Amino acid sequence: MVLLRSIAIYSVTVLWMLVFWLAVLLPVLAVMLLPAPRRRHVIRFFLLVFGQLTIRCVWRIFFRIRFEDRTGGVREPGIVVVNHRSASDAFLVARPGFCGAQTVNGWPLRLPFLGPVARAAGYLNVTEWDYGTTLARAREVLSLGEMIVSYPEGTRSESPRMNPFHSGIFRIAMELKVPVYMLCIAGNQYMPDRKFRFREFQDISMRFLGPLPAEEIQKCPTAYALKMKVFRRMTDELASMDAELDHEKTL
Amino acid sequence: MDRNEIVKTVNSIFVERFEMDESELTPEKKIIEDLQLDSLDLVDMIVGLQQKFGIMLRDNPEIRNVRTLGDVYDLFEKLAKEHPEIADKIK
Repeated sequence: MVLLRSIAIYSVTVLWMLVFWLAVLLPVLAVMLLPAPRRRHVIRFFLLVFGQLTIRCVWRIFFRIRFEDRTGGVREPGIVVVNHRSASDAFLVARPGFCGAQTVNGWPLRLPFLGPVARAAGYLNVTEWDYGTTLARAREVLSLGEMIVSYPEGTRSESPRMNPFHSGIFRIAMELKVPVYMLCIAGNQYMPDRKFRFREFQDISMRFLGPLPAEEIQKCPTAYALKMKVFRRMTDELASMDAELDHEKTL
Repeated sequence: MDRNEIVKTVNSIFVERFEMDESELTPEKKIIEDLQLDSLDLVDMIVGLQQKFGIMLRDNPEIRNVRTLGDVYDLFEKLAKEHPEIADKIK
């Protein structure tokens, strides 16, 4: 069953990926003539459209995604902190509808096809770049009115429990004086699991929280204090989201 | 400078810089695993300790062996014996 489920969703997703990127091939090639920051900005827009259509139309065949926006409609450029249970998070972050660059470990940038697209979109390679390069690139993204999407756990947890956060992205938020948003994703811990198998199809719940305003962030004495504030807030929110999903399963 | 004073001073750094609750600061707590400090936070911790105790730790090889909060207390108890002037700096 796991194999069948995985074959079904990967086949449909890969087919959809080919259709989408072939359809936008000419505009994407034209964009390559633009200066680098503008080019990356437009590619990120294409990625947003691709992600939105993937989760709203294609994955809808397999499971439902429930989304709550608790930001009050605020979209000031800032850092979006996302918990990281599964590889599907990289697609799900398109749901709130903002344009942004994701922070990634080196390996997703080496994936066939998606890797070159992510590189063209200027995704931030936090494991291979030094702090100064990451900061400069983050500043560029924010100056274009976009968000930085970050997974401070560093790797997929495949569990309802969050891994400890790294402080780097919170240091960047403090240094650039930008707000921090929190995007909580529950229900997708096995969709797919760490071995990229879809062990189940179940509803996914997403909540977009925040932002912690820049003034509040500046009051934190260290990046550690800020990260723990965000960690505790997200832990509480995810616990309530998981409880709701569990309750719905029993009905 | 006795152990109690050292414990109190070290803990004050964790409370002020990291907004930790004093009740969670016990000697057996592992700094990385239990208190969730990463490498960048360790730099903040060392800077805080240097400022508070008025000594440089950068070239001290023993700082690399610190794993628990108790190890930090032990290290500063030893340093306080070697450098009695630390007590004056804290006052």
